[in-house]
Amino acid sequence: MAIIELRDLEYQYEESDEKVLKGLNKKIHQGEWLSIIGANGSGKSTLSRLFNGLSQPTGGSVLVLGKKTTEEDSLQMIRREVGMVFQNPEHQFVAPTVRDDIAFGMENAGVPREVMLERIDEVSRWVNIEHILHMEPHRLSGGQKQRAAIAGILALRPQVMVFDESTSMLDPNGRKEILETMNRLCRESGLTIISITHYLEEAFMSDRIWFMKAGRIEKDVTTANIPDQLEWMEAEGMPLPYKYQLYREAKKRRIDIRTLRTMVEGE
Amino acid sequence: MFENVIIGQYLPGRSFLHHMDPRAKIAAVLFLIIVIFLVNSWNGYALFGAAAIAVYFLSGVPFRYIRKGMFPVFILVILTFFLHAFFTREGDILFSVGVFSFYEEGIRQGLFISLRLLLLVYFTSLLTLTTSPIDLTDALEQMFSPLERFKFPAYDVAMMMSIAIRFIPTLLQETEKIIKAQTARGADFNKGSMRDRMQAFVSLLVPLFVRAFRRAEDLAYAMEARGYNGGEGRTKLRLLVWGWRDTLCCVLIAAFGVVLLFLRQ
Repeated sequence: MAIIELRDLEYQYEESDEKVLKGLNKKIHQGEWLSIIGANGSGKSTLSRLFNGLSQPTGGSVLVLGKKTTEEDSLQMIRREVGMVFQNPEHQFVAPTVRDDIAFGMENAGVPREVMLERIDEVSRWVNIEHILHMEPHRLSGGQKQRAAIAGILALRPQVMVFDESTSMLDPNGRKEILETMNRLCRESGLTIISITHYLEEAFMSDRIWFMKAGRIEKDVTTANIPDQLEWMEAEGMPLPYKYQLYREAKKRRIDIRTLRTMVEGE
Repeated sequence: MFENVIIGQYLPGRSFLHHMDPRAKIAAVLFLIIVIFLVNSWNGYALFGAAAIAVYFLSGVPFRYIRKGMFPVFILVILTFFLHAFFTREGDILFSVGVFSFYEEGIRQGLFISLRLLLLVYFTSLLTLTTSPIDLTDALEQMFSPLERFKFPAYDVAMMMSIAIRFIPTLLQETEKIIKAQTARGADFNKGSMRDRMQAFVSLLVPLFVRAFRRAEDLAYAMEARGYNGGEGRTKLRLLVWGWRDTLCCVLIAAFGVVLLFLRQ
């Protein structure tokens, strides 16, 4: 079942003469993990803001659970169902403590206090931040802030979570934490994940990849057979993860993988 | 730089004052501020001093903390005292130093105003030291909420205050980063003429403002993405609970005010 549908979707910034998104027609299915990759300016982040009505299309439409994001009456529901985690963990922290920040979305949605307390307990355990609930944002690491942001969205019980380059400002540990969380969200909780990223190793964790170029989805491929995708990815100038670089190089030089192992480990 | 200023700082604790409802504390401090300006007798100030000592024991704030915090205020207090002592020329001359004569009323006024200033800073500091910023904004929101009938945006004002407070440490961290970055590129904020320092200061302010605006835009997106739509239909996680301490405090403060009014000359 399609949870999000793009119909002839177009977007153009007021100050620009050119369309950033040009006639996109795609469906995102429930429970899948979709990665959107592409160079800067290809329209990835603009697209991510259209998923929950933060920006409105200038042409065509985005449907979330069958409702158009342009319908004023459906907007609050859409924002509850499609949560967003942004790039900078510092800039999305609204409240003075982690507990208050998790509650922020629920307060906006009018969730009763008793339910809020239960959900804060539940989601903080889920993302492993029970021990920092009382802390202020400037005392947290980037990974902890992102996990707090995820908890705040999970508390609203969404069906879709959009991660807009959410690991790009984190150190390797923070990045690993968030990727593990994303993996659990999709594989254990059945949430639909949309991840905007520059990192192919992150994209390879997902089920499907959209490659965006100049406002169009140039490729829509599954990650079932990654080696088949490496050639065009390399041709598009995307830095392949090290193991795939090694694989490509070995294949090019016709080095047998076992020989490679011998070369690395010795006789 | 600001480590000696205690107004606005919060010291977590479990004292009587920490457990009080912030609305009661704000109301009490506002009442005391008014009463301080009505007291005009030595007996009144003696009673105020006794109250200040009693409140100190109820606050659980370490004395060295208060002493350190009150120290910068002393400069202002001394200045105020001498201004009154020099320029108020009423009553008998108490003593003269060179061409300056000190009058009885001048000394009395100087001491009264100094005491008022000290007590004002002391009580306000104890309010912020024993009340977390979020409790303060919650209390102000509730206290201003009756004004919503007259279109006063109490909720929005409280949200603005809460966000401003939340971003103070972040902005300070950012300022420090920019200072380091500018220093690494040769800027000097501590040396040179006033003009040079002002120029160096501009090189600090511009990136700080640019970043603050970018942050504000991102924050607006993040708030909107989580369904922020103003105060209407919103529920609250934090509840303010009025307890026996608060009622007791209000009764005692009211009685205190009445006694002080009787002691007026």
